[in-house]
Amino acid sequence: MATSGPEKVSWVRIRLWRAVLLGAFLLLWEMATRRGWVDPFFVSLPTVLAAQIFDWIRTGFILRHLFVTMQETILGFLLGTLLGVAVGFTFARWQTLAHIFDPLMVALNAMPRVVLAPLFILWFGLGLLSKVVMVVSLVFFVVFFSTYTGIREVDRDLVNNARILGAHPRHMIRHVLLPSALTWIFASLRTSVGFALIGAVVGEYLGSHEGMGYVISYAESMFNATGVLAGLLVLMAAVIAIDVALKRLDARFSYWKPFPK
Amino acid sequence: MLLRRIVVVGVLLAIVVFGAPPAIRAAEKVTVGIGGVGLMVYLPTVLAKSKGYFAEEGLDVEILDIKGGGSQAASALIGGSVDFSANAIDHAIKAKVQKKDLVAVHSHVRFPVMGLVVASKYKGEIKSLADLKGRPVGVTSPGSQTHMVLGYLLVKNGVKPDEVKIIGAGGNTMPLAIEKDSVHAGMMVDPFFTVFTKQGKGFVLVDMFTAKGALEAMGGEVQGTTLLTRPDVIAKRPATVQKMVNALVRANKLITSSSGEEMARSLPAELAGDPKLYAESFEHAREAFPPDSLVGREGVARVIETMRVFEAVPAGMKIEPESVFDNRYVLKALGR
Amino acid sequence: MTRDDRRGRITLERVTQRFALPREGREFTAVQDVSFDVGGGEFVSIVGPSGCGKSTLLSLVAGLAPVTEGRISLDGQPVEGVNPRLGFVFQRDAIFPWKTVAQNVGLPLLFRGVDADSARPRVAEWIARIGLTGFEGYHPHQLSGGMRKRVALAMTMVYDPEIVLMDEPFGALDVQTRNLMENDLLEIWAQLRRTVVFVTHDLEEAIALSDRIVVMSASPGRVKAVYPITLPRPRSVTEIRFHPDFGRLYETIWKDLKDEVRIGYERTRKGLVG
Repeated sequence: MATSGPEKVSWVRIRLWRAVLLGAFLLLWEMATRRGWVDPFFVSLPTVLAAQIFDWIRTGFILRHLFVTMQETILGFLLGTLLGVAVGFTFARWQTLAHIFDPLMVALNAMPRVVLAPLFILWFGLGLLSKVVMVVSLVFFVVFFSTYTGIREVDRDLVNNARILGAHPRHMIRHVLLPSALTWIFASLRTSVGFALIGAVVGEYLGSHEGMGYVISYAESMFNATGVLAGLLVLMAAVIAIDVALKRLDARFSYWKPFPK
Repeated sequence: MLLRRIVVVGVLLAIVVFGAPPAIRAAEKVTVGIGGVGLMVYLPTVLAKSKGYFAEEGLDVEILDIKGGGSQAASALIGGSVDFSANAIDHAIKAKVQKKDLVAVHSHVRFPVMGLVVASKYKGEIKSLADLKGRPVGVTSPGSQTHMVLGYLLVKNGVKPDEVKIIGAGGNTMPLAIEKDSVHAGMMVDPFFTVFTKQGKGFVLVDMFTAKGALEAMGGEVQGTTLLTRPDVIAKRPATVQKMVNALVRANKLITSSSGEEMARSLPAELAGDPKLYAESFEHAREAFPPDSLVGREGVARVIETMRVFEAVPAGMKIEPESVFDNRYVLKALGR
Repeated sequence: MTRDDRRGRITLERVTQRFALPREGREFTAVQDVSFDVGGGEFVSIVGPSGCGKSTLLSLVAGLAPVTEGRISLDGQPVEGVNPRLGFVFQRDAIFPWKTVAQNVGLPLLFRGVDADSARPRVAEWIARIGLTGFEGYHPHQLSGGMRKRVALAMTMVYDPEIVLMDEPFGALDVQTRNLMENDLLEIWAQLRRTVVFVTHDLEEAIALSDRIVVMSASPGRVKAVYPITLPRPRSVTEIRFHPDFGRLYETIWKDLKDEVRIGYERTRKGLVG
């Protein structure tokens, strides 16, 4: 097998080192709290955390709340993506619209939506809607800007070629503009998933009766650091899972790209 | 010439050091965290400051209005950001569950001083706590005293807490949440309770402002808001704790001997709001303020039990009421 | 396949093209007063120095941009936007990276509403013609430069355009591949006898392929001269160079071209990209 580059990268060894690092960290954490170097009230211990998560899974408690959060996240994510692509495309196609709305888009995007969360709750209530709106408000802008750029960046020659080959506007969108913009869109999707989850959790944290944000908020109010951290860990796992799924999806749609990407 | 100067300076210094009023001379900085200064239950602390009782004890008390309600104020106390907090004793018990000690040194109110209010539009539908099943019901914030009490009331009336959608809707935003139908009912505190029910926007399902109502709902005395502090504050600054309690005991005495109008006038305008309404809410809740400022053991024990029923205290855990309060300072202030 | 030789005529009458350069606050004239004809079924090359506007001319004929002054007609009809009877092979790869070879070749048929059953044999025919049978499912990134060029050619020819415009199509290829492609092109052209307008800066290539050569001046591009190429057909690109007339033609045309190339070169050196 030929070596790729001056330094051979052994993924087996890298994985091994990652495991070692993680193990050492956990050990240190456990020791520090048991010996009293750090107050477990504030940071909990790995063993207690693990027990809590295990218990949550066993009783099905966490499944219910995770499901709710995922529901809000995915719903908002899909809606935000759809809107972002639609508007991004419209603006790229009709440049005058883009010019008119540009300052508004930039201003809206600059507003910290997380701070707007209480307002959303006021306007849209304490249920699912306000959380979905939160998520949409975060995802939309990321996807919008990517789509817009992606379509503007389409190779002029491809567009001209398509015209000469006889493409109607419909064809142009479907066969030229969208596939070209898809690269950009996919790149933005992986970023915006993180935002989507944050939006959902923050919304729940501020006003909800279920969901991971609520679980964390309640644990916090009960001074239960274990609960808070366990909740965060579950969220982390969820994000990682979604990211892996998106990576696979991205790979599937990038079949036409030259390697290495 | 030089000697003259020294003497003059020395005399001036002496005047300044010994002649100055005690307050300026020994003003000690103290921070108190409160989750929502406008609420009636925090009146003793707020009054003690606005009447200058703290200043007369030589304390420069800064009241921090902490967003996020009682739990956040208690967190601030545990974390060390504030020296004291005006909090329901529930928070001390929650902390104890997590093996952290907080001590109540003064009783602000003896009852939960809250009411379960239902939106008027559900007048025919919701007649008892059981009718709340499946509906969204508001508490001030997750884990707050309003949350604990609601949980207890539900369980006592045969409703499992997760059969009701309990949502944190804020203290001063509760009326809005009910109006907007984000929640069908909510645990309200004063002064909002009085205003809301007077305006006819809601009706009362459970009234725990009066002694009678509280006893009925809770089955006995229940300790409410207290002044909490950490053991290390007690250890390092016991004199400060005593001074705080002295001022607060005076405040309670004033409260229990004043009329509503007098109270409304004693407070800064932004806290009292509409003086007439404030006076009315005060009269409604007047019984809750203990003239002797003492924390009741029975009241604390009942709180622990209500929290156990709600599973906020684990079934097997034993918590002694005495471990979360200390009446010594009040007793000293009362001269006993 | 025989064709009526009078179809596919191109007429340029006093074509001038100006672009506004807002950033430099002036106008730029790409081509000036260009007039010439291309007969139906003729193979005409346009040669000239860099920047002489030959690519611009091609895109004007294609209808990709409107003329500032003058007229371009195809078989007597003035050019108004993209004409469906026209094919264009771009300089850079303009094939669609996310589509397979077969999808690319079939794309113009899809655009023109040809149903899948009729399209399939035509696509297969052209893929065979360019020698890529077996590569139908490949994506452009898996093909060599020459193969991609062949796909571009097939895409253009599959819908049977009367006029084929080619903008330095083989410029990016290495010499050997280029020669092979040129031969392939001549073969296809000999069979179908379409009008071809071929832009290049390689004079040898132009002479080897064309019936006539139009020499453009340096910017702003004018028609400097038009030379008929009397070499016999069929030609083999590599061997036609050894024909006695080839050298003579080359010398003659190069004399015209050389001066323009030098002018253009001097201009860029002085920083005056006209």
